[in-house]
Amino acid sequence: MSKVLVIGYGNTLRGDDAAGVHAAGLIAKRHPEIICVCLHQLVPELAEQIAECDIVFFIDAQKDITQTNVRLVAPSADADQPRTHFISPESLLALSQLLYQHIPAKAYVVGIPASQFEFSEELSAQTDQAMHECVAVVEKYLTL
Amino acid sequence: MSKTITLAPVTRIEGHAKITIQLDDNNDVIDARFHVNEFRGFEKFTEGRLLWEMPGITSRICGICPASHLLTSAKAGDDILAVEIPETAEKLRRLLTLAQWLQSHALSFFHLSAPDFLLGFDSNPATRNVFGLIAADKEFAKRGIRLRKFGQEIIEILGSRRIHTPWTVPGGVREPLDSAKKDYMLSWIPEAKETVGLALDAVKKIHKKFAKEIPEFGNFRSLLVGLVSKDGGLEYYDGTLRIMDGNGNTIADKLDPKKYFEYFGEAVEPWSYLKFPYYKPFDYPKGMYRVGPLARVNICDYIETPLAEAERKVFKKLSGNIGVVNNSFYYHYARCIEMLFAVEKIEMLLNEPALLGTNIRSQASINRLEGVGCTEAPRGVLFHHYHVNKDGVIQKANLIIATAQNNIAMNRTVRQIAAHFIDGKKGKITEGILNRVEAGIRCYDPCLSCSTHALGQMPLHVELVSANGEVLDEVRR
Repeated sequence: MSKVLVIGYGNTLRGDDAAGVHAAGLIAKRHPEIICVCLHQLVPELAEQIAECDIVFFIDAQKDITQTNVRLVAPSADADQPRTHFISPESLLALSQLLYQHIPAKAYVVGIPASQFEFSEELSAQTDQAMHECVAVVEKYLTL
Repeated sequence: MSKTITLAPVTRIEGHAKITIQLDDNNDVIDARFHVNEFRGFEKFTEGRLLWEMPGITSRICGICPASHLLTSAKAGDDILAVEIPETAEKLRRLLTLAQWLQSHALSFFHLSAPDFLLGFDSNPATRNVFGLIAADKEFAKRGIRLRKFGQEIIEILGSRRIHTPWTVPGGVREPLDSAKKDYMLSWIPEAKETVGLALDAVKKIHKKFAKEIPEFGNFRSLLVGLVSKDGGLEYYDGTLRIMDGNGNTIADKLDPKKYFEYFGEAVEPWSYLKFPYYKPFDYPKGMYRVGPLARVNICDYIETPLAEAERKVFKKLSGNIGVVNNSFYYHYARCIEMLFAVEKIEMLLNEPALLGTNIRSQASINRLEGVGCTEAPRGVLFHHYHVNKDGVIQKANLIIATAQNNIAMNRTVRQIAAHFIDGKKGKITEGILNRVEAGIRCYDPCLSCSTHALGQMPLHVELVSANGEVLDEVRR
């Protein structure tokens, strides 16, 4: 059985920015066998945990999209990465590869449509709906 | 015609910022500024919330140092409840503070600053990052990640979540520590000590490698501010404020942190969202002061753990005859000394039987309508000041963040580095020079995510200035 890691990240005080955190929380409830991590932001030590998995999902809020967006990502050591506050999934994968000589067979970045980033602990109605759709999308990808 | 060189964003620091270097007709630096563009309004957001929610809310301000806000907020809550927390709760909170120092300092040293040091300021910018560091010394980079992980694991174990844990609350903490978890934390100590030793070896080599550059890296006299213990030792969780001048004289001591507003004022400048705190008796901007590792290791009389105390004595020798190390480059060395202290002190705390006690929370209702919490966050002293009504609803909150307190000094550092390294005669601004300016800022390890605030009073000033100084256009909001 594949070892799956779901990382949902965002600021839970900034409205829709927390969509990834909420999605990862829901997935954790529905799939206890999946390792789910909820974070404010991506951090370098995740590289070790990522290296131990077969599939990883990075779930984040994303502006300028209208539907949940899924894309496969590969390791990339960008020039200015990691910047700590904005370390990217690609950089984390590169850290896993360089430091632990292993990366998941599949790494997905899942974007949830988001538009409201004011001070709030609530998702907007649209993003809340999209967040639930995102969970269904992740479940679909788990069966592929 | 004058030129303005802008670097935005400053890479490898938390949050966003911009540095502007202004040149005159001869390409000589006439001014340099560290602008903070990111705006956060958490203080306003907390109005109307319950006091007991504040640790959980304020810890979500920042993803890098959440535990510091958590602890400081809980201490402000202790003050409002007017309680003394149980011994076990204080020890557990101290453990959390040290874990926060360790993970934050490890990130700053190994991943943000080490690429500059080990690869050199003039190395290829495309590889002068943690990946370049891995290529140069994989084991060093890996150990840095594991050291940070150790700090994060303590935070996770204590609070069940790595970030934004509401484990610390007004009156104490929510859960005691069990023996198995304590033993697990202790198992990390040998590796952590070894890794910090590698960091200290590296930092000493850096001092030799950059001997010609260090004198221009924020080398000036300023006040130094931080907490010290009752008998003058390095303090991180409690204690009183001490202020030392740039000649090594203690000009104020045993100041009550709860009266911080009597000692420190906050100036604003139209070109930055970040306020400029200053020492009131000296006025602005002469009241410039520095906080954080450089200040803490300078102002204390001793460090209670043996290896860190030995390093403190070596550190103090850098000061020459005046007894105070004024160069901001040595923030890195002080940070490494604090990492060593944190590992040693964590071990000491874990071996104290009282740490496993079960009396962990003092219960009380609202007994005061105002309270102040103060701790030493990784980047320096942090204040939370709350006003509540009789039901514990927040009426007003003021957070004074370490990064803001270094603001005047960071600007002074940028000006000094830019003025020294930019050679107007050559008329060229190399990548290496620009990176030195950024590296000057990185000495302070600023965290801009949480250092900017003041919703409703946000000064926004855009100015268009011609070569002869004429303001062509100006926008204020």
